[in-house]
Amino acid sequence: MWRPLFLAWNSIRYYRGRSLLLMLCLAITFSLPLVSRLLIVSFEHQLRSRAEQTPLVVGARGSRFDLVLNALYLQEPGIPTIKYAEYDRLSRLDYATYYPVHRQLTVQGAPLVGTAQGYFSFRGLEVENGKLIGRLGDCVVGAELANELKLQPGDHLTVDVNNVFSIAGIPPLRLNVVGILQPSQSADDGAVFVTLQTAWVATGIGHGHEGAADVDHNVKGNDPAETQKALGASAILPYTEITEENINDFHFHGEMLDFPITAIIVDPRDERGDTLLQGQYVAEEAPYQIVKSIDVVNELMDVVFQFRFFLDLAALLMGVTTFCLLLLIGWLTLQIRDAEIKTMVRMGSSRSMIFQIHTAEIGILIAGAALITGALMLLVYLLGSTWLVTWLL
Amino acid sequence: MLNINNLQFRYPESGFQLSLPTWSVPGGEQAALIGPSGSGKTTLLSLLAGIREPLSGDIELAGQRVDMLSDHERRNFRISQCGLIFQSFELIPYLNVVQNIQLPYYLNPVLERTPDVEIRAYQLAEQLGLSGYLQSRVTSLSVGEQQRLAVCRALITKPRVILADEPTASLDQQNARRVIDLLFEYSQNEEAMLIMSTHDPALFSRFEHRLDFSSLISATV
Repeated sequence: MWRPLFLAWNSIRYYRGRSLLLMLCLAITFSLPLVSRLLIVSFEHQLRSRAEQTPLVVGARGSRFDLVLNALYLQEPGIPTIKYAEYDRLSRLDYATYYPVHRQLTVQGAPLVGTAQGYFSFRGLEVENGKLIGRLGDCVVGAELANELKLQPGDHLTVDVNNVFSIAGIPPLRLNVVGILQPSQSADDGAVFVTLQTAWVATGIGHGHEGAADVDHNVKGNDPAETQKALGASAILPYTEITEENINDFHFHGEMLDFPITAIIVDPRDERGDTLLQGQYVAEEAPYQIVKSIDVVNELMDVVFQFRFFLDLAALLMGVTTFCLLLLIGWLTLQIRDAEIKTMVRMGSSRSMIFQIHTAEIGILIAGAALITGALMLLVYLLGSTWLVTWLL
Repeated sequence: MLNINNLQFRYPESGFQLSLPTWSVPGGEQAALIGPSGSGKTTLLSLLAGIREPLSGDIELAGQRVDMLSDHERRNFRISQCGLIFQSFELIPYLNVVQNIQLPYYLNPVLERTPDVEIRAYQLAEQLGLSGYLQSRVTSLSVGEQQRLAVCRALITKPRVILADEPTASLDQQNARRVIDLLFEYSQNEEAMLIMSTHDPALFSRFEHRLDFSSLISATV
């Protein structure tokens, strides 16, 4: 067996450019269905585990997908908000534990999430370096984002301007990084967390400025534009950073109960609590909706599985095309190497030896392609499903 | 010893026919096949090597009735008993010089590749002035070097018969002389039969036995 292998190996080395190209063609053909399957399995695993961890979500009526994506995966920042009053109302009910989420803005492109302290223990998030949020203007950063932006406690992050065309727009708030979270292999790794109050300041509902006591704060509601008008009328520039010195000058306009949040994560105490809570939102006139995360994710996965069918079909077509091309290449190669084969036969080689040499060559090419495929799969696996989920969503 | 009796061969596609009533060459001697191109010299060498089968007639070479052997036996006979030198060298481009010399040992398990084979390959390369190119690719060799390499490959198995098809056709005079000298030297030292086709009249006188194909053409075509 060493004879055909020796000759095959030398041939592959000599025609290395062609051999590498063939290996890559084969590797791509092998990889496409495998990688897509791995991606979908990772995607599904990530989505499901997060959904199983987050039984119910309350939010504005509208797209259930958008609500779940906002509350669980910190995507879809533009969804309609609900009033903080709903969170306040639910908190008085002993059916569950509730975590408010306000996810509207971004920090250097990453989601800015306003929430309560309890969110961190609910998600099992621990601080690796520094401390958790407590004070207005503080933030903690997910592990992946901190690594990407090389952040440490003591650094600062500025909230992205959401409307560059607004001259009287809300000045971007500068946040103090007080902690870096441990990696959690979830969407939390790529987010910036602040208190709800800080999130509201960032959206312009609250602000701080010199002589706050002298300004007319008789602004009703939670419209940031109204706040800006009030500031503009008094010709005062608001602070862009919350410090020990100016923290007492920060204040909110309007009733806190009217302030917006994008969702409420609900963790029922038991099945009864779950049922009773869902019953509260059954009525068609109910302004808000409650969704079971896992049901929404299952629906989402059905769509993904349909998509997978097309991916598999595309991979199959590509496989057939590649196979035909490889047959053509093989045939052309045999034509080119006809003289070499004839020489071998004339010297005393059997047809079976020639067959073994070519089989060994194909075997080495397939083995090489399998190695490339394996490396690619490992790379996809190591890249992390978190990145995939974030990218795919 | 070579004995040919009533040999008949015909190419079905072209209709070319070769007939050779009788021809003998004693073992260990040198014979030349002379004649114009297309007269059947290469065909006769192929028949002797068992690459082609005759329509009829007997071929006895190196103690074997080549015409009676099966495909498998002819292959084994060819690779173990015959050293073949082709007109266009027919070297394997993806093997280096020393690997090309040992090619017969990679092609048929009837030849066992012992450590002595490699030593012999180095010795032959040295003898033919190729020791400086052992690891080189054959494509980097000159025409003369490639032909000398083809001679090394033919001699590596210590054949009892050397069948050379115009081995000097593409060589200059100096290289041609070197190759012929080596083939004669091997034939005489090892008592191996040398059968060589050639166009070169200057070489005819060196051969004790000659078969002139120009006299066969009119009778056979």
